[in-house]
Order: sequence, then structure tokens, then C-alpha cells
Amino acid sequence: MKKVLVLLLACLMIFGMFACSSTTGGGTGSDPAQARKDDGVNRIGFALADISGQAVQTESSAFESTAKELGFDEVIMLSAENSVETQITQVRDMITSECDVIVIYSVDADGIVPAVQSCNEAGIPVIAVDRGIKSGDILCSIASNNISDGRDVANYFGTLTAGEPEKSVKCLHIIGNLSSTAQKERADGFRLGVDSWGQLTIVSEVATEADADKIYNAVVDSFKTNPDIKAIFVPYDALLSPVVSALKEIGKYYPVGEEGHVMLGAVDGATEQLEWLSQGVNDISISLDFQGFGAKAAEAAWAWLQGNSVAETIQTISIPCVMGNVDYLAKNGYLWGLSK
Amino acid sequence: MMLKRFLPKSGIDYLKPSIVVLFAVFIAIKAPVFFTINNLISVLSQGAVIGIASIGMSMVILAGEIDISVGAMVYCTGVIASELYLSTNNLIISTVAAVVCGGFFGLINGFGVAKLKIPSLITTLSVCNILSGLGSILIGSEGTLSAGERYKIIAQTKILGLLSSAWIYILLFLLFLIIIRKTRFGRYIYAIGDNQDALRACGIRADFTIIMIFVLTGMLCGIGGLVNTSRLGGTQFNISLGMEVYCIAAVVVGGISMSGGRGNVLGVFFGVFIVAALDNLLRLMGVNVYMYNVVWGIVIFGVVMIDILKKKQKARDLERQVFET
Repeated sequence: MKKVLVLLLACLMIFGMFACSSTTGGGTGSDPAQARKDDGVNRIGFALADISGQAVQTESSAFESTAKELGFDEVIMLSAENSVETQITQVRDMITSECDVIVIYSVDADGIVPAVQSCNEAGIPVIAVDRGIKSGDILCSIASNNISDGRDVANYFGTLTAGEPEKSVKCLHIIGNLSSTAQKERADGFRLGVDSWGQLTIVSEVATEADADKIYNAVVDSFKTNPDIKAIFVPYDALLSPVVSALKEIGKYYPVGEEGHVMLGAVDGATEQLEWLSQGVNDISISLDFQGFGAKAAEAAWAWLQGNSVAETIQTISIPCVMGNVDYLAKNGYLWGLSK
Repeated sequence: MMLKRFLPKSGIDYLKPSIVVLFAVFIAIKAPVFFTINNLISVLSQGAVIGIASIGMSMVILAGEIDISVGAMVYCTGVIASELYLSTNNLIISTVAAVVCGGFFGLINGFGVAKLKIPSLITTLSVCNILSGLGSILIGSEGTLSAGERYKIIAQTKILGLLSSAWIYILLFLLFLIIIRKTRFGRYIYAIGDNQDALRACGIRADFTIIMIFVLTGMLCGIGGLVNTSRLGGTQFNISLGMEVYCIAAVVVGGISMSGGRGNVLGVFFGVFIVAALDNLLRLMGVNVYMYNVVWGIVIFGVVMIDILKKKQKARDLERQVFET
């Protein structure tokens, strides 16, 4: 009886292996170009680095709704949970699934290149959104001007402290994820902005892998070596929360307008940080057009599918939000993170 | 004679103190801020969460097991505590919930290891994955949770110059030091790590002890999660995941044997301090964050190497003594 059972199981395994190999034919191991055939279904794939955070949720919702409105029959959205290996596999799965266009919000600008090359070989156009991709043929890149976003924060700090003595306004620069081109560009922009104002100087740059615990400790420790830091820049809004907690712990937290206030600036325009602007917690938040990222990616893909030309670069508009204008912008629906 | 007891017996015994002295001199030159009282107090609060979780980890390792769900338990219980605080505005409810949930997660680990006989690495890895997913589901699409000002009193109240997070850690450490050193339960932990079968042969319920070790570790992680979210004023996606690596490092640096059954729990306090201090020092010196892992690897490798060399030396000494007799 046992022998029969073993034989049956072995047959089942062999049958299963054949079945699997027939369904995954043309997958990553075979020529991806053969995998893509016109099945009459307009299919679009969106490979997301992760789905954590309000900004990405806004971006992916806008992408999905616009794609469906335009006429895509099927929208595949996959999150790589910030793993570049997972993202490469997911993009290759999208090739196998016969996607007509693949949109990538990459985990790593360099790491994703092999997946882009697979798309190129399969003749599937790639649209890079939010974060850039280092090489490979990219149909279109959609992003905000991250350099300008970082520079705007430095310029605001510069404007607020105009007239102060040379190099007297010490800035702490918190660096987030080093593999993100967007964050690298924001960091470059911030440095450029600081250099253009004589009174500003960066006294410390700390790489934190965008980890709240590391940011908290970095702020606490940076004030030990430079107790008179007057401004802090973080690459995106969600990272401001541990900064504020750390400032409170070391007794350096004072609201905007009070003596001893440490200026805080970030990029994204998330709800909580926009609300903080009115309460005087932070000084500036650059609101990015996350709805625009998603919608424009779907529009560019549809345009290509219809045989229309697509611009190589599409830049979305960022809005600097400060205490004085945030209510007006929210009331008039200019901010994705806040509406009043 | 008394002095002779404290003097190193062989060349290897000189190695650890010499490295510490050389390192201290290096720090004094490169980052003099490090030795200020304020900084050392701050290091204690920075290491509080790792310290609380390391108490549990030291019991698990002493019992010859491993728990890699520690970081995920801290993450998930932290999310539960802050979510509950946001909805009830009651600190007691969120505190009890964090501890009870931590204990429940630990119970799953303990049951898997003791009753189902699944290796602790596999059991805790599964629980780690479940909890990291659960935590992210609970946070929701926002990705961050701000718990409000009152919630921060758990970890950010200053008592006698020390933050409450550090006090919670110190008190828990003292409590568990007594439990491990002075109670029967503590002796059973060592015995399980040394020879579990012998313990069973004596009629002692080893399974129950293993389950209790994991439950207590879970409860400690619950407290850790609460303290961490209170310290940071909220939580965010995947925070604290991977913390188990620091806990294992603290336990190993503290002198507990990875094979279980041997080691002084008091050393873990210093292990945690070294972990937090090294992190703090690298930041004060402005070292690139990716270099931290390199430094950590070298430190753990070095400590383990010294212990292996010491063990070999002891075995050789014992052999010589036997031969001479």
C-alpha cells in the first residue's frame, strides 16, 4: 500500500512540475521577447518600491483610477517591500504576465537596471516614476525637481536668517535612504541652497537609512557635539516626528516664533506635517504632486499605447508650504495631504 | 593571595582589558564628548529598548534556544499600544494590552518550541514574519502613527536626571537578575541550556520552563514596544525590525554562551551598554551609517574569538593539571 502511495505521489509531483513549467513558459529563464504577445487585453503593471506611507498610497490610487478611466483592462500593482531582488522578480513576472507597459517606482536606481534590461529585450516600454533609474531605455521619467525641492528648504532657512553673521546658522542634515535617487537629489539641492547663503553652514550630515530610531538618536547626539544647531533638514516629512521627539527630550523644542526655535524643513507635504505648520512645529514642507505622479504615469503609458509621442521627462510642480500659506493652499485644494 | 584572584592568569586574559583600555584612549582623543556624564546618561536611555528585549534574549540563549521574533514583537506591540492609546486615550489599557499581547506572542513561540518540537529558529522566524505583517496592517496606509503628548510620559519623564525609559530598563534588569540568579526557575533556565534531558530525567517540567521563558521574553518585548513608541512619540512602518541582532550582540558581548547553559546575566547589562555606546560613538565621530555593520561584525567576531581562545586555554590548563596529578 505504501509503495503504491509513494508511486502515486511521485507521479503527482512529476505531473505538477510539468504543469508548472507549461504555465511559466517564457518566464525569466526563457527569452522574454517571446513571452509578450498581443492578447487583445490592455494591461499595465506598476512595480512599487513599497506601499507604506500616505504619499505612495495617494500615488498608487491616482495611478489605478486614471489607468482604468483611460481604458486599461487590467492594472497589476505589486509592492517590493523595499527589496530590490523582489522588485526585479516582480518586474519579470509582469513581463511574463504580458503587460503592455511597466511603470517602476524603484527601490534602487542601480539595482533595478537588470529588470529594465529584461523589459527592453521584451520590447516593453518602462516608465520611471518618483525615483529615477540609472540606465536602460526609459520611455519617460516622471518626478518632481528634487534638487529644487531641497534647495527651496535651504532658501527658506536663508530668508528667515538673512542678516545673521557668516556661517552662524548651523544646520543638521539628516540623510535618509542612500539608494534613493530622489533623496540623493534633495540632499544635493539642500547643500546647493546652503552654499548660496553665507550665514548657513552644514555642521553635520548623518545617514540614517530613514529609520526613526536612528534619526532620534542622531539628533540627540548631534546636539552634543554642536549644541547651537539652528536648523534641521530631513528628506521627507514622515521623518520629522522622531526629530521633534528628540528635540523635546533634549529641551531644544520651541515653537516657531519663540526664542531658541530650531528651524525644521522637509519634503513631501504629508497631512500631519502640514497641520504642524499651522501649529508652529515645523517651518516648511514642500508639497509634491503625488496624485500627478500616478496620473501622469498612466497617461504617458496610454499615450504610448495609442501611438502618440511621449515626453522623455515630465516634471511635476512642487509647492513650498509655510505657516502663512498652508491654510489658503489647503482651502483651494492645492495640497494632496490636506484639504479644508 | 586575594589580589592574585583578580589578576589575569594567562596572556589571553590580558587581551580584553588591553583592548578596552586602548579603545578608551582612542575615544578620549577622537570624541571627547563621549565621556561626559550627559552623554553616558543619554547612552543608557538610548539602549533602554534593546536592553529590555535583551533581558528576554539572555534567558532564551541561556536555555540554548534563539528568538528572532524579538524585533517584530517590539514593533507589533508598539503599534498595538499606540493604536489603543489613540482610540481610548487611556495609558493603562495600552500598557496592559502591549504586555498581554507580547506574552501571547511569546506563548506561540514557546508552544511551538516546547510542545511541537519545532526548532526555535523556525518557530520564531515564522512568528517574526506574521508579526511584521500584522504590525504594518495595523498601522494602515498612513505609514506612521503619532501617539500624542501624554503618551510620551511613559519614556520621556525625567526622574533624578534619568529618563523614565532608562529607569524602566534598570528596574526590569534588577528584577530579572534576582529571578535568574536566586529562584528555582532561574536555575532551571541554566539547566535546560546545559542538559535538557537530564532535567527531564529528574522529573522537572522542562517544557513548561521553556514556554515560560518565551512568554516572559514576549512580555518584555511588549514593554519594549511601549517604551519605544513612547520615546519616539509614535511609530512608523517596520520600526525595530532587526533589533534581535543587537540583542544577540549584547548578550554575546555580555559573556553568555551561544550554546546555552553558561554565562553571567549581569554581563548583559554591560553588553547592552557597549552596544548603545558603540552606536553613539560612531555617530559622534560622524562615521557613515553603513560602516556601523562592519564595525559590529568585527566586534562580535572579536568577542567570540577571545571566548573561544579562553575556553581552549582553560581546557589546556585542566589537561595539564590532570597530567601533573
